[in-house]
Amino acid sequence: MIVVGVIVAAGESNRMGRLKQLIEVGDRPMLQWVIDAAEASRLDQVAVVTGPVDTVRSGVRLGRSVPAVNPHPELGTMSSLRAGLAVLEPCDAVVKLVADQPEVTTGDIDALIEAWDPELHRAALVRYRDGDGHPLLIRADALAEITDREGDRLLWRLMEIGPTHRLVLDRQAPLDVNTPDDLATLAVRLGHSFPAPPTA
Amino acid sequence: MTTDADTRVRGGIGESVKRPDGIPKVTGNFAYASDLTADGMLWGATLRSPFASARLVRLDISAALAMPGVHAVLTQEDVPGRKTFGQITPDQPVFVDGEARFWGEPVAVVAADDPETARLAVAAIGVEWEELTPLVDMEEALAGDEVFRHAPVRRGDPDARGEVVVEGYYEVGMQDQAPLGTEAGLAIPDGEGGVDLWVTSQWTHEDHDQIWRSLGVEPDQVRQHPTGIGGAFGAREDMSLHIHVCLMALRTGRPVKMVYNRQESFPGHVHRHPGRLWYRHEATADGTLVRMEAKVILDGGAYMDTTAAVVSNATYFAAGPYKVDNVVVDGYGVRTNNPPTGAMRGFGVVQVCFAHETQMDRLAAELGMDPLELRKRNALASGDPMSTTGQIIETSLPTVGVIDQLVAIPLPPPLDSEDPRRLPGGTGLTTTPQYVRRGVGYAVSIKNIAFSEAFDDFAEARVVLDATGVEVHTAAVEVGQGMVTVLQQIARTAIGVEQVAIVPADTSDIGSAGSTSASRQTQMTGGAVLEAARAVRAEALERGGGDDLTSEGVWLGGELVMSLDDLCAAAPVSHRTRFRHPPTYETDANGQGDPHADFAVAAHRAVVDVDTELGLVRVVQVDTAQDIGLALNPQSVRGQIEGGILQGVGLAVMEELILDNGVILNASFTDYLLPTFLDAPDVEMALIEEPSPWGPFGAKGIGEPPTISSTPAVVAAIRNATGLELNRVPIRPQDITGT
Repeated sequence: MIVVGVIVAAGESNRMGRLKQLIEVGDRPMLQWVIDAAEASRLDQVAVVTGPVDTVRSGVRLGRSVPAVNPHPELGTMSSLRAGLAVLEPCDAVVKLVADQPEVTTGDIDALIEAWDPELHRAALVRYRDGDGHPLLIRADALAEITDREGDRLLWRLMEIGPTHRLVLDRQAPLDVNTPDDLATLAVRLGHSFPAPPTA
Repeated sequence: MTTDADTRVRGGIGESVKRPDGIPKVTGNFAYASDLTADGMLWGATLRSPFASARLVRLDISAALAMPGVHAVLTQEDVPGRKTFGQITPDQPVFVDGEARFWGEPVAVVAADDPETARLAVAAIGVEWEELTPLVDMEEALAGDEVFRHAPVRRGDPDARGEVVVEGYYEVGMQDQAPLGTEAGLAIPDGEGGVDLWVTSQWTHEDHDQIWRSLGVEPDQVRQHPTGIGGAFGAREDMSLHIHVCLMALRTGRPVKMVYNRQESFPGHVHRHPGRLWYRHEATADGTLVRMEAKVILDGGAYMDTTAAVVSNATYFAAGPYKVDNVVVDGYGVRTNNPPTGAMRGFGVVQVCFAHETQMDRLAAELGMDPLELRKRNALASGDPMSTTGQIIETSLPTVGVIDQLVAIPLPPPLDSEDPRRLPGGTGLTTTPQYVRRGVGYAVSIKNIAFSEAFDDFAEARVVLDATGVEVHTAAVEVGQGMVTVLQQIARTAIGVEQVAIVPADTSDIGSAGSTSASRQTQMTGGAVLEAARAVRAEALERGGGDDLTSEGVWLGGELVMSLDDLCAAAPVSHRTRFRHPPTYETDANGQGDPHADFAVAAHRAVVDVDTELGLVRVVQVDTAQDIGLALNPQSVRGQIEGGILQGVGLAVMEELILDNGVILNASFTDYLLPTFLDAPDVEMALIEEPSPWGPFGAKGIGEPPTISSTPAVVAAIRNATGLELNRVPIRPQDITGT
């Protein structure tokens, strides 16, 4: 059973005011946390998908991850997922990770893969205390049902229709770091102090 | 990083963990209340009214009392404390107080050396009655202003009008919960004027609060213990022999046991309210609901029990899971001399769902629309106001989702008429295949979860971690639904330790967990256990100075830094919580307000084969999609849904107490038709897991929805097969054959 990971890091960080993937969180850039978590996991292969103007890749250590470029990230998250899969070997399922959720751990990824029953579940995700979230696992045959343009909506629709396994992690969902305020919250949650966010 | 636990512990939530009572139950080793014994135990038996309404002219216990082996004969005169009991209003005398108001009402009890002597002594009690004319018609009761509660709803413009109008009148018969285990209890006096009671109950603290008052003792002199229960479904939410058995134990100074036989069990507990319902729906030509109006009468029997709350549910869910801006509903619970009615799975929503779903099918036919499209067009969703109360729905509510996912389930293959086991007449070979018609029907429902209307609804739990593992102390009652297993799973997941034991607590040991009803225990006691378990884990990590906790002990950075032995050497880690759901409120004079804490929807599709010649129905398959929040134990969820559907099938085509002037004519399992495994349809299901805002891990209660819309789905399928109107459940053979 081949399970690969795709880290979606092609966003433009509009609300952050600077390239959030490379903001230092503790001792490393935010994206590096996600790459490192995937690196140590049981994922067979990992792709890191960045946007067409690639200033991100130079700021991180890819390790065993394979770089990929999504020329049209504005098409949505599925276009990035496909760009990542295009540089990897054919797989039975893909685990989707996002660059702005550095709290996802190697253990989370492995537990999700462990909990997923390839015969029963077309998808798997994590049920946190405050709702469902990443990482998401999508069985390869289910990917065909999702168009790129409506990717986000259809991806969550797939999660709803299932059959989806929900791995319960008894903690708050990983923070989506989109704004300077989120960064400050993340600092508290991770117990790190960050450089002050730039003022407008 | 995080210091919280997750499901990597074995036996945590999301797994189909096997229930601890499973093997003892199927091997006959489980101790039900009726199996309990004590040294020197006496047996109790009950004298009951043979009439639904009669004046007690003479009662002479002297002959019974003089019989060898008889130790006490008690009547209403012997009740030392409050002479009445009742959950909402204490209006029911402990024994007949001069007038019997329903058939089988207790008149006296006898304590004797053995059950046979007790029953002979009951027969020896001299009793003379003056029979009265019972009030048995609910409309007559309403006309005579014999009303327990009138719940009105007025919302929007009462004069709004639609282009298409559908009216209907519906009836629901009296269904019995028919738990296999009858009412049973053992009371043991403590020698100091107090008593310990083990009794079939869904809510020990509520019973306790009624019992001590009637015994005339202090609250702490009565301790009610949870015990093994063979099913409840609402029948154990109101009291039966509780006070009687305690009175006898205190009078004789010896343990006393009572077990109702099947015949006395039927009048010995409350039933589902029979109902009569008038409905009017108005819609635009494109199928948008404009106005609905309903009058709902429920037969409350002689005493209040939970009728006021059942009426509230019937009224506030009268419109179903649909958006309507203009609503007029009048719900009534009336007083009659019919057998007692109260809580039963679905609690008032079953009756109205049968009516509103039939209305939706009729409206669709009138409009020339697909009945599911009509439902989806008007479906309630999260963020909408409830059509009756106006309460904004803040929980997930995937009404369209349950319909879509239900339809996606494949239909069963066509009837194989060569196999007699597949025909409605079965191996009796009574069915001629040419008379068999197949039908398919749908229904959708919405139900509230937990207690409503400003009731102070809470559940207490205490979670204790020591060197041997975790103990969860709770007064929540396991009635067979699998709660104990789910509580174990929640504690394991939240703490990270696999060894978890659930300790049933008596009323003196811990505060109330509320009733095991209203689909509430997973969310309420589950919520309490989750809160307490999280606090235990946090304190254990702080004590041990670590970042993870497992069955071995406390860990820091992947290294074991303190064993459980050392962690708990000085004292166990213990936390007690009292969990409350978001507050609910009384409605105003127009039924407007926020009376409910959470909601869930479900949809059912039934496939039936009907023998149109003999009026027999075989329910082939009932499929469902249900809004469950999260499957904490998938196998348990499936079991609850399958069982609930079977109870809904029972109401559709089999189960009814037949009454004659208030007397039950079929008070036995020979004559009260219950579905058996042979009647059980195949069930395919889709589980929709959109989180509840306050259920543990987003879980919602799941116990009631399977019973609610399965009944109208089966009826719709029979209508589809036969073309008949069928406005009454259960459907009898003569309703189909017209003879």
